[in-house]
Amino acid sequence: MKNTDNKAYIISDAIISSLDFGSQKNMEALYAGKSGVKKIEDNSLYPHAFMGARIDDEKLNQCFSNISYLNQLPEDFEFTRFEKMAIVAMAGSYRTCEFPLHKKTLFILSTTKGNIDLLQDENIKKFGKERQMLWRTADVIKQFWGFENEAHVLSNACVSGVEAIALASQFLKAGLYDHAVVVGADMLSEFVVSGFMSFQSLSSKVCKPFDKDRDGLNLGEAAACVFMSTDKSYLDKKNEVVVVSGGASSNDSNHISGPSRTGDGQFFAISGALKEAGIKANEIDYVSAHGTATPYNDEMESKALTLAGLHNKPIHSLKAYFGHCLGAAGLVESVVVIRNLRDQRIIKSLGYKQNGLPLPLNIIEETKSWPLKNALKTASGFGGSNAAVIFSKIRKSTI
Amino acid sequence: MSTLKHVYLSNSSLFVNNKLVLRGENPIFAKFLKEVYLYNLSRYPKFYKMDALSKLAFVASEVLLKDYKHKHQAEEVGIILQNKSSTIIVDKKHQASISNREEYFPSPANFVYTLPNVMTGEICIRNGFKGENAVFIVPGFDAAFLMNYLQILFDNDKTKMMLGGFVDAGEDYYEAFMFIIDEQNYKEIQADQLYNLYKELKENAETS
Repeated sequence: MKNTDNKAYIISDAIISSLDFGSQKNMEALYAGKSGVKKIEDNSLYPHAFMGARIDDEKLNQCFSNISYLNQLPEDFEFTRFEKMAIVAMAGSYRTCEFPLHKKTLFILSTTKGNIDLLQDENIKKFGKERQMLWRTADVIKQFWGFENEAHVLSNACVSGVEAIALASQFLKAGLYDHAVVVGADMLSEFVVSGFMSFQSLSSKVCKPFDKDRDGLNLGEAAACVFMSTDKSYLDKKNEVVVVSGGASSNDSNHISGPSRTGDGQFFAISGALKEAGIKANEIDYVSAHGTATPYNDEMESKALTLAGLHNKPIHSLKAYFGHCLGAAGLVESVVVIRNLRDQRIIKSLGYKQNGLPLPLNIIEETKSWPLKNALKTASGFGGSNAAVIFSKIRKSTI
Repeated sequence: MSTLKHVYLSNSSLFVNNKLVLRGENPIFAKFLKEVYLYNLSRYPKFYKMDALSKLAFVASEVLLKDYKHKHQAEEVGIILQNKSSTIIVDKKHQASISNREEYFPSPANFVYTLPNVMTGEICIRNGFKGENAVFIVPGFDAAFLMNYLQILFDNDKTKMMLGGFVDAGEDYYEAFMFIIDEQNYKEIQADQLYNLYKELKENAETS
């Protein structure tokens, strides 16, 4: 199953986040420099106030009821909040371009904790025990749409989203499927907030990736979807096409909850992605880094990007806009990269003022027009996992 | 399939290449894990800090990799595992620590294990593997999808050696099937044969 000449074209995408619903609206908010990170006072999430990025529930329910006509399950079937998030994001992509549901479509869900709120007693009563299982919630989403293939769940901590796109593109390039629908979702839950609090890794302000005063991350929730295909007939009339040109994953082999001290793990993922894309580091035009704003993660990334020879390329983190959306982060941020390639713009790294890294990076300080051909998206996570994916803009006349 | 080194662990039984090598005396999961750990005689203090799922994956990988020699670089060796129940045992522990506001003690040592890929991380740390890593959550071992992905990785020079398998643990069940596949033998291994091997081992463990 060597890669064929097939290209994994990005056909449509969607984001729902604390900023807004829809890729276009999210991009407008990003270009305007808005942050979705706010003070959250909600006893059901945490006993004290904390900074986080939350999706508007009313809007979510409204959007979900608007798309209920697409539901292939019985009308009275009850969906969880997590499932609604994933489905609404997918519907955004579907409205732009209807993805096929047949045997040639691969469906992947990227998430870390899915329906984790169903561990609470009152929810177990309502939804049953099995629904907490990630394969089961993926199956519910599959059935909503009526995909013929089984759902596949990728759960590789915070790199899941980036890895899911890379993985789907591999299956397309190998010719095993013609289309892929990749959705990533994770939500704010008491489970996750209390866990990160116990790690003391949350900032009490809007986070400051790569800055010298960075002191932790903000949790966020979001869902995003990318529909890819090898079938050119799905491409719209525009002359510019974005493809997934390479991807890889790796492990630090260092510590389960602390990033590598050398950055070589992340470097291996970047090298693997470059190798598949058939380009050199100097052909990358900008990097959308992981940038959680914890002291050690950002330090590790400065080493990895320097090892890869990318430290002088424009680099940003989007965590101060969306918070850290865990299994959805890589998907949401990849959609932004795809849109940046189409718009030929780069977005400032919100929260950054002064270099706080042992090896300085070229952090983007102003949102501006910028010529882009190849863009790199990276991610790192607990368990020592890393992933990288490269998106490239190609001219339609060349394919 | 004769070239595929594999282990299977369930129901207090440990099989290496289809051969029953250890029959646990204690039906309790945690005690059996310790028996396998001691059987393998490799001291690794971090083992005792791990959650049940990581312990299970870890002992399976230790038995699998014992006396297995290879010359691959760190970044040429990776792990892809499937799992059904994610980290349900430790998830429930974490949930119990936050369900009562008067006794609210979430523990970071627990929380870090609430991600299923920490088990692949533990194996990578132990063995210095820095290559491709993934964990898929499936309703049951999906040999076809796993083999497709492994073949893509080998065919496109993304790896030289991989551990693959299915590792799952809940409060009253546990099962680990793990194998080594490399650039030499990957073309010989068919997904249906792999699935049949898994089924056979599962039946053997149930009747052993």
